[in-house]
Amino acid sequence: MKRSIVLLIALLIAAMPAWSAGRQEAPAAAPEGPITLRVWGGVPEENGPADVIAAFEAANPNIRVVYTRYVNDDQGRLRMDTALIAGGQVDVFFTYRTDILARHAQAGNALSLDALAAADGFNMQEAFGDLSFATFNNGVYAIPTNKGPQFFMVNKDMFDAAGIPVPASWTYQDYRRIARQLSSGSGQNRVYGVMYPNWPQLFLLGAQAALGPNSFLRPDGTSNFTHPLFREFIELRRAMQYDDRSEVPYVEVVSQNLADATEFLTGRVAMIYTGTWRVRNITDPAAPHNFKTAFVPLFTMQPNQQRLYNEGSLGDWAMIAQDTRVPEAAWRFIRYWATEGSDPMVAKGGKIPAWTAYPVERVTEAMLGPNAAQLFDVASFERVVLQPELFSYQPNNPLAVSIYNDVRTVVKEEVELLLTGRQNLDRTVTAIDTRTNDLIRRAR
Amino acid sequence: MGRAIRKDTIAGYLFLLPNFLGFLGFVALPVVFSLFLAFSHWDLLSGAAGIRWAGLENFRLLVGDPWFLSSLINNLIYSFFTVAFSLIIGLLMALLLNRHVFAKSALRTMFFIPYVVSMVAISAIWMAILSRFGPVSELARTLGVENPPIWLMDPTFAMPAIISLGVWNHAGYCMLIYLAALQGVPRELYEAAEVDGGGAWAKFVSVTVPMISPATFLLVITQMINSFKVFAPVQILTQGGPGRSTTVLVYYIYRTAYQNYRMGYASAMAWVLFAMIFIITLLQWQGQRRWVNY
Repeated sequence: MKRSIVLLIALLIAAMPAWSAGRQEAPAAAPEGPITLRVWGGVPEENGPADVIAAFEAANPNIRVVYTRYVNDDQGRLRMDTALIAGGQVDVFFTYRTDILARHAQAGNALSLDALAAADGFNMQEAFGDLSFATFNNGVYAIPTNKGPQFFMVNKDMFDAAGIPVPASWTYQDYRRIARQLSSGSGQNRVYGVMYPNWPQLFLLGAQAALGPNSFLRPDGTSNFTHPLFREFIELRRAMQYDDRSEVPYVEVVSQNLADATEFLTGRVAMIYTGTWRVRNITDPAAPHNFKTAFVPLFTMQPNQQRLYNEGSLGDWAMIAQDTRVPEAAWRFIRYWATEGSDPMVAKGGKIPAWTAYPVERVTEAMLGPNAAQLFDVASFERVVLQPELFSYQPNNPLAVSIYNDVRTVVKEEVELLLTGRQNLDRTVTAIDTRTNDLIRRAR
Repeated sequence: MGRAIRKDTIAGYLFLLPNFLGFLGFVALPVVFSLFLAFSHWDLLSGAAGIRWAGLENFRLLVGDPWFLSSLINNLIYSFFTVAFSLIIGLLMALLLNRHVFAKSALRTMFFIPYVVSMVAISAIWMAILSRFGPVSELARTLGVENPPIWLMDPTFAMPAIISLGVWNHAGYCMLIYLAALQGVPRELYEAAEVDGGGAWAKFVSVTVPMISPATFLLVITQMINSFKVFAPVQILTQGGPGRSTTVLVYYIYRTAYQNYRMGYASAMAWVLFAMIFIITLLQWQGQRRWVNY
């Protein structure tokens, strides 16, 4: 009996290389007959993908698409990653963060799209704009199917009541003053000027938005957190939470798990920092409210700030698996999804196509719904959400990408100590700077 | 060995086989694999081909890693207090129920319920209980504390809050084990103690405690192992904060593996965690001779 167990283990171990061998195979010639395309994405099938796929199959009768939905969180991504590295199970996959996109491209899981696009006579830069986040070793590895800027959603009626015009652009001084003017009441009935989600990177928001991608690193690859803008912005958020009491305190947001949509719709905050995904909460018939929502871009931190980088980016990146046997069909599919096939993703998924040629009014109509005029300041939506060329500050150099998660945790930990009164601003900034340099040293 | 017996043996092993295969595939091989990974660098995404041998580097990095060190210390604090209080409160509840009390089985069920409720639900309840305008803070205000802390977001109170939750979760289980043990203590011993003039306290210290020591031993070992695996309340309630005050090992391992894709480093930590639990258990096994009576 013992010997047979040993034999069994030996067999299992022998089978392991076969599991990993799949990925090394060179893409074979496309098989004859109908092609099956296996697509993995994070959007539930009924929110658009099913319709895109049906239309695509109708136009390409020899291709059948099988869509697998993975939940876009740590566990869901692990499932997708496992299928991907096991080999032979994925032809097309979507990623939703630029750092994960970078990891896949650098790990050799994705196919460079340049040859496929060229053979198709398709100019990716012209169609989507800045693809630097998808470019590695001079190859483009993904095309974006969504544009996801972030901005402030503001309660226009509260602005009107206070006699403040909704700004088209503003400085951080304007922002601080207006947030204070819009705050009132006390205790549980306090109405706050502004609320942020609890994401740690938002304590760097103003600074990164002014300085651009990788700005927490100096060109020589050391920490740049001694730059005065980081300090100024962290202090701005602390002061507004505790001195002005015009921002919902971060400790409340975390400890009560406050939802910005609820606070905003019930009139307890005048502005929320958010992104396109929140629009559907405003149009939701289950959340009736009697004010108009307007859109304002982030404020500037410097007097002559040239550009306002965005925490959001082009996104919902479509990639082709490195070991696909049907690269041409996969390319045809992602091109269709990202361009002329995107209507269902707009109508049902609330996506804004990254495709520059997509008609803006169709997005407005689909996203803001039939009551747009009552619920929204439509002009500000088109100005802030749809029109701008989107420059993201998401990190895109390999060192910055590899430590960004840990940097965010460091920022979270040190800022929490600042906000709970355990350390002052100087120590907070110094600690973030020192610990970031430690992370860099350990990453090497 | 007779034919029939041999046939039975084979049949027996065949019945075991499915379970054994599952164990082999989903437990044994991954464990061996993770031991191998602890000495490698692997980002998961580059597949088997991307595994690079690292020797002892992961373990060397651990020593200077402030996150690892503070999660280790936090874990020890959490384990010590959670186990101690779970056992004490569990024993008190068992002693109460072991007497003739009103609505005994209803009380027993109530005490036990936290143990079977999902940790996610428990965490949501505790978030409400400990929130700024929740019952705990209101009670503190009634008692004259003007500005009670925001418990889960206070570096001093976050860990005690997580510990309370752990105690609340596990005390019911300890109660059940103790209750069974109490019922196994022979009545004659108490009667003999009474004859010798022992009061309630003397009976408790000299009869009850030694007689239920095997149950205590079982609970200390299992609860200690359990407490080292604490994860869900930290992930849901504090995300390791404020500062690093509630970052525990499994939470840090999770973050390293599934958010930062550093499988080798995470495996190294997991093996250190295993070694620690193993050593602590061994020490307890050694120590039991001095205080456990069978």
